[in-house]
Amino acid sequence: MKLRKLWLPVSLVAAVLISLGLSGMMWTNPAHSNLSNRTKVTKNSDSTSNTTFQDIYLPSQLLSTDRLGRQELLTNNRVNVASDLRDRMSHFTAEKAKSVSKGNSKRYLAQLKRKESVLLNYNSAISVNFFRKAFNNQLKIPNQKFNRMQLLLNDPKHLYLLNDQGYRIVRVTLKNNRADKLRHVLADRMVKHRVAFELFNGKVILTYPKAVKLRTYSYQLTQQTQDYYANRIMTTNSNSNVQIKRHQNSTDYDDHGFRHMSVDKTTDTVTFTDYNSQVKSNSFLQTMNHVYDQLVMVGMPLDSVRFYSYDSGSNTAVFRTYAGGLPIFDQSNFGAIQMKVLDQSSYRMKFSLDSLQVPVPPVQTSATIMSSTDLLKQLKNAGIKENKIQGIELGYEWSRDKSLANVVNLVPTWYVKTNNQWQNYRKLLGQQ
Amino acid sequence: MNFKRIQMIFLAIFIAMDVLLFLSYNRNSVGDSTASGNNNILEEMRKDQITFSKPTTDKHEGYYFSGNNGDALRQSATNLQQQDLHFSGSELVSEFKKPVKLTDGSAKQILDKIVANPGLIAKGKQYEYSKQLSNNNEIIYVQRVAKKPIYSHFCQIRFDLDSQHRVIGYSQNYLGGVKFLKEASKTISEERALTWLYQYNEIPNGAKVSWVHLAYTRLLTARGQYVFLPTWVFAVKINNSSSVILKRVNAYTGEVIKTGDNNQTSNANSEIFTLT
Repeated sequence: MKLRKLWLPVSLVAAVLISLGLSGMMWTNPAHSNLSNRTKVTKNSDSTSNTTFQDIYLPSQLLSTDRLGRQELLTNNRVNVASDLRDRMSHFTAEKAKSVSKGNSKRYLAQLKRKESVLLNYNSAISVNFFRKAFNNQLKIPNQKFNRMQLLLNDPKHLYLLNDQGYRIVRVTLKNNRADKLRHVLADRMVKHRVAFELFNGKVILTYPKAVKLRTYSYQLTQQTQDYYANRIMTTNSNSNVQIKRHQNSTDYDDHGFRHMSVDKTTDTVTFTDYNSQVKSNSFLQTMNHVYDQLVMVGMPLDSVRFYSYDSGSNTAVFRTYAGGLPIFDQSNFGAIQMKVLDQSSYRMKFSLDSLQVPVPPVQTSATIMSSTDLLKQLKNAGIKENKIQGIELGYEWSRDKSLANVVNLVPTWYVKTNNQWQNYRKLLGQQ
Repeated sequence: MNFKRIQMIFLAIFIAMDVLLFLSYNRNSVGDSTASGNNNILEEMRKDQITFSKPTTDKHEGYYFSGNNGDALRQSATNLQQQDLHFSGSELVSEFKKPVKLTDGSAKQILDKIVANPGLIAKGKQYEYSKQLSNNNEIIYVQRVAKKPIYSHFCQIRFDLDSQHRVIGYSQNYLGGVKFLKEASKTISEERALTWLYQYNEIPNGAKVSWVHLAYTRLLTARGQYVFLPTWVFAVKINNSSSVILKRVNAYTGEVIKTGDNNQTSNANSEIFTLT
């Protein structure tokens, strides 16, 4: 009699417990959340992972100075010289570093022109910790900033770290370096262009005393759809629905939480803001790590994209597409990718939907570019004041082919930096 | 009495809920095999009874290059002897005046000598015997660029065999004016290409992957030039069928290259051979 009275409440309690247990299991096990891909066929577009941290942060320029003091910019049509050299420079070890000179521009320029040396340049200052990771070496010296590394072919025991800011020269005593390894890389057939370092308004610039002949390129334009990015970066918060607002020239995506994405159809660029990202930007290395992780997370193709510059004032890193060792301008008004750290928990990233993956034969194989002396003369004649010019650089101009659809032509030309913006010199001269 | 009825209703509802929860939990567990590592995918392939030899994880280097079937072959063909030849388009079609007898086992040696002789075959030094593409009716030599073979009709020598296993003649296509369009870049590994091919559902259950090569494939034509890129070529033999299908995976991006207009450009036209 008692048992018959009890069975109902007991089984009810058991049923409640079982349902609690089951729902608990579903909540705690991440494999059962909506985030995971349940289907076997997933379009695995993680081709980005082919580009490593080390690849994207390669030095942007490579120069050699021979026995007679002739300086040349090195590129190679067959191999990527910078990555080749980086691989030879890994396993460097060092413990001693000594400051040689500071604030002496003459001494600094002389160091840049040192005979029998190889220079690896970055556009902005990097740190020793960053260098250790990007080059996979064992440099155990105090962390400091520099933007050029100088290897000596006739003195394998030393490496110089140079910083244009304050004309700092630091000498590092190396262990385990063999000069013949470096010579081996340089012995390969290279495309060489005569260059010279000069001081211009107190800034070190690289000039081309003679006209240069450079290769032209053509690429098939690969355009990623905005849906791809919307799916990849806007649907991580499964509890909320993404609101999509379509305007005439743009589309806005908002997840009612931390992420916002806007696609501009006139320029084919995406602006993505993440307000919930732990940014550890205490050091240059941490910032760059964070930037790289976000690039991989967003999943844009990074095949020929490389680090271009970092501005510590505005916390902005710029990445550009590279061709034949030179940066490409005019892909958008910011480069290929621009990443701005807003504060400790948010960042804004701008990137282009366009990328260059498949090269096609160009119309002309090469183009000749005037010397930097001629360039500066032309700028002067056009009334552009010398002190307004912040820098000059050879780069490729991105332009759509007129006859072939979806083909981009890359033609080398001069770029001039004024008002913190790189522009084609023809634009400055009013020719465009 | 009323309280008892409420308890009964609650019990029924909770049991129904339990069943539903259990079912959905179970469904989620099945098929949730999107494993992180390639090894799990390889295991899954074995479960689908796909036969393959253990893929390597080495990365290689390859180029994008362009070229065309221009006049280079026509010019060097003037030196050829002991054959009647003519051109059909850019293809050289030739018949030997005296058929070459091939003996079993030494067919390769005999033909290697012929191909290496500039009096018999033009530009022969750039070609290499391909065991995999050859069969009983024809023996195929493939052109090589940057130390890797090109698997394309545009870069082959095909020796036709008659019923007595004699070489009657051959047809040849030669890719000239080869230009590298970009510096060398690293390819994905064979293992990765294989797992991606499987994940794109390109390998049916019970199939056999007979061989894998890293070879160049034509991707598209632009400005009158063929553009080639490195691909992982998988020979897939489907169950209950004697034919072998060559599946090509872009060795840079891991995309499966398909025939037809799947690509954005209308002139994209890749080749897939069917061997019997």
